[in-house]
Amino acid sequence: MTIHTDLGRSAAAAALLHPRTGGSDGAETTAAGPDPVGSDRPDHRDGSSASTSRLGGIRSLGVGVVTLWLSVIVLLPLAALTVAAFGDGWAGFWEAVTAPAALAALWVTVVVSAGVALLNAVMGTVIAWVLVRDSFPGQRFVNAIIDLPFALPTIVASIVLLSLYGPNSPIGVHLNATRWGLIVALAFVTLPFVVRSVQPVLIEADREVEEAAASLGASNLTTFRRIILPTLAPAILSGTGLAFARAIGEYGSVVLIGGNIPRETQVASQYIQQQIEIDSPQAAAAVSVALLAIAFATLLLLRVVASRSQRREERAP
Amino acid sequence: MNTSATTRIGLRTIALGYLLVLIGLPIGVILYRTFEPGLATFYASISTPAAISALNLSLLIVGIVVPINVVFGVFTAIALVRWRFPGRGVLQAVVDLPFAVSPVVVGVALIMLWGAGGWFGAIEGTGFRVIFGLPGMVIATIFVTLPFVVREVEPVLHEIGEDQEQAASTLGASRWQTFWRITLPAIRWGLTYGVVLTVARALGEFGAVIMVSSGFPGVSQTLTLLVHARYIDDHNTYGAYAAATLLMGIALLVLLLMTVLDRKRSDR
Repeated sequence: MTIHTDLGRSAAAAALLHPRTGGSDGAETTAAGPDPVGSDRPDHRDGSSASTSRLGGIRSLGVGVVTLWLSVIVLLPLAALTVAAFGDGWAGFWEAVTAPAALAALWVTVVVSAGVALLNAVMGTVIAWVLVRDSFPGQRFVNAIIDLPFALPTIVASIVLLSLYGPNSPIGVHLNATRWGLIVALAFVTLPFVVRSVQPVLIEADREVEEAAASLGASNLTTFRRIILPTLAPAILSGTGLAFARAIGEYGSVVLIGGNIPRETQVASQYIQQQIEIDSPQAAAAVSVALLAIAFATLLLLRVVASRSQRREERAP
Repeated sequence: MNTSATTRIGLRTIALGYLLVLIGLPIGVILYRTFEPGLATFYASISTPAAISALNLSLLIVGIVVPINVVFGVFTAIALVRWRFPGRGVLQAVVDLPFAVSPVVVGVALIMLWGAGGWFGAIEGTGFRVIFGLPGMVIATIFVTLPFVVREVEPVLHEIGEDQEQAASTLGASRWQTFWRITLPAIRWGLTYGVVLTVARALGEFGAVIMVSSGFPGVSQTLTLLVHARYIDDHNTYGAYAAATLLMGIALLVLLLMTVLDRKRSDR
């Protein structure tokens, strides 16, 4: 039974990890095939070279429009941000990023996000396991619930968690303005990453190997450690990395429950927001660039690891 | 691996317990608190002038962002899949960038570009206010939703290939006719899925929008900003619950739509 619906896998997860799936990888194969219309070979329709060059003209105009569009929306803002971060030179950038409060916020962000990522690695794998290998009434419903954090606006996540763990908690658990509050909020919004990346691998996994190991006398723990974990490891790693990358930038889900206490629960995005509020744009830009750098480094590392394990898989008999 | 019944039930309990504590109970509590005073109270809370204008503003932003994303998204997807040109790989990477950028950083970046002291800051002199105005919220929303349509349409374009399009043009169809009669019908489900993702994200975006909005109730407050303001500024916890429940209802609707569309896509 396939319970994996792939729903709401939120393009994000897939695209972040394999930025080229369905993109250029596939495109390369197309390029190897027959030439796309409009290259320099004579045009099918009337064979006149005038038409070909007209098409080429339209195409260059199109490429220009796409480039301009992506530049104005995505590249120029990020360029302006970077320039502002280094407005007072490298020293200014360094000073802003190493200001005690900034450093503390970045540290809280990275530590809490790493903790949440690890929590996801364990719990995500357990949940994926239960969804694939176990069967119980209501399993499909539980499977659908997993995507809820992707569909819910982040500020709603904040309010939802506050209703149970906030000042009016009906069970007397008060997590607001504590690091536990941050962890719960971030665990909520990053829940789907590991589950959704491990689930398909577990469905595809060859159970005969596991049975062989068991019949050769391996204990469950040994089978898990030596057979299953190595198979799942790349998926767990990528899910964990994506969860980390998402967690360090989170704002909406922590803004209400986190408490924004400097050096305690203030995360980098809240610090950045505060710097804008007190009219210190250079500091805001500098910490933004630092946060971006951490996110890019994480994603780059993930891609390197992913392509390496893929190559190893290809080499394996 | 033949797990014993104890292990299986143990793992099941851990997994379900975690989901219950993290998702089930909190949502249960907020629904209870929202509807406990009665439907009339809930309705009154989401139909105050500020709430209605927040809903309208959110819908207005969606109404502006979706058509722009559809036109530019489909165009970008076609360019990236069908055309070879230098720098195509770079543009591919740029399309994914918004996924990696924190919403607050999006806001700061837009302020640096469009704000008073920014590169395009001079535009404010002409009376076209971007930051702290509607254009800023629209641009911020476009930034965070930009990848959805492109990334949903691209794989479909790959899959259908170019045979039909070439056949159409061989038979004398103009590029425009080929697009409307061949390409668009083929990509319609992928495109719809991208639009649904865009709508969901546009309605739910908070971090990027709060950075570039002036946040005045009844003027520049979206639904998500309303939830925030009611909780933080007005200490109106019930109002925040009610507005959040409204947003949650919309999100559930979107989730349902996505399931249906997903099935349609794979049926094709």
